[in-house]
Amino acid sequence: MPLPDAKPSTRIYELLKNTDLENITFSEFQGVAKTIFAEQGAEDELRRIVLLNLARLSVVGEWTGLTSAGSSNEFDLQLPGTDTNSGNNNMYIVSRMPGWGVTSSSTTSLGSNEDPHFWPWISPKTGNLTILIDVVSDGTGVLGLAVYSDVGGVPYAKIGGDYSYTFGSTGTGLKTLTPTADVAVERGKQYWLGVVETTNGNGAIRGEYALNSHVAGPAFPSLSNLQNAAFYGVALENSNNTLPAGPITATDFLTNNDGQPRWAAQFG
Amino acid sequence: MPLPNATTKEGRVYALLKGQTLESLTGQLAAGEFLPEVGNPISIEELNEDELRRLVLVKLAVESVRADWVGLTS
Repeated sequence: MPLPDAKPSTRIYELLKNTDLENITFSEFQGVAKTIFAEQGAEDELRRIVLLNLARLSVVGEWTGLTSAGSSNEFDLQLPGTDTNSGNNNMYIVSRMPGWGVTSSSTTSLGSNEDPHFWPWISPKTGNLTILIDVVSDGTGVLGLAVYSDVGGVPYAKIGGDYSYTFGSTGTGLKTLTPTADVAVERGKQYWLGVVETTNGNGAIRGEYALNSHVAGPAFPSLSNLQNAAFYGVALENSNNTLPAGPITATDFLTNNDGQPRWAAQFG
Repeated sequence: MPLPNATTKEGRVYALLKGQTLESLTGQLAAGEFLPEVGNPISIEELNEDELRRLVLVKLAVESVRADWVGLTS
C-alpha cells in the first residue's frame, strides 16, 4: 500500500532497489536524497525520504537520544555562556576557549593574506555577533572578516554581513567590529571565522601561536612523519581578496597553517 | 500530488523554496537563516494546517540528508 494519495516512486525506491533496510549506509541514503528539490512537485519523494530515514533508524537501535537531555555521558562540559559581574563581563575570548581555542596566553602577529583563511569556533552564546580584534601593527590595507556555517567540518556559507577594519585609521589596540548585516549565531554550534585582506597592505592583528593550535583540517598523506601537523584550518586560493558568499565547494579548500586571530565576541 | 487531503494550491512554503535542493538547504538552518525564515511568519490557525505540514515535512527531509541522526540512537 503506497503513502496516501502518492504517485509511484520515480527516484527513491528505484535507486535503492534491492537494498536492505539494515544494510543501507547513511552516505548511500544521503546520495540518493540530497538532490531532491524542496518543491511541491517532489512532495511524494520528500515524504519517502522522511519515511525511509525513520525506518532506517528504526532498525539501528533504540532511540535513547530522543528522550534524554543532551549527552548520555555523565561528563557534561559547558562553555561559559552567561554574562557575569552585573553584566559587565560580557566579552568572550573565543580563540582561548574550548573546543578550538588555545590554552596559552602567548600571542604572535598575524599578517593579513589575500587568500581567505578559515578557523573553526563554537559559539558560547546565542545572539547577534560583534567581533573584537587586537590591532598590533596599524599599517595599511583593509581586513575583512565573516562568519560561516559548518557542514561536515568545513565552512559552507556566509552568515549575515561582513566585518571590516581599515588599517591606519585608529591606531593599535582592541577594535570592536560590527557587521554590515546581523550575524545570528547559536550557543554550542560550530562556525568558521573567515579572514582575508580585502585590500592588500602591511597591517597586522594579534594572533594565536600556530604551535598552540588544534589541527582543524585533514593532512595530505605524503608526509614523511607526523612531526609536521600544521593544518590549523582551511584556506582558499581561488577567491583573492574576497570572502565568498558560498556555498563553498569543500574540495576547493587547501591547508591553512596559520594560527587563528586572538579574537573575542560579544552578543546582542 | 499533495499531502493527503491538502489543498493543491502552492502556498508560502513551496513558493519560497522553489529551486532549492535539500542539500542546498542544509547550510541554511540556523535561526535567522533561510529555512527558519520560510516559516516566519505563518500564523497558527487551522487555515494554515497544510503549510504547517509542509514546513515540518521539508524540515525533516533536510535534516534527514544533512547528517546521520547518531544522537537519536546513542
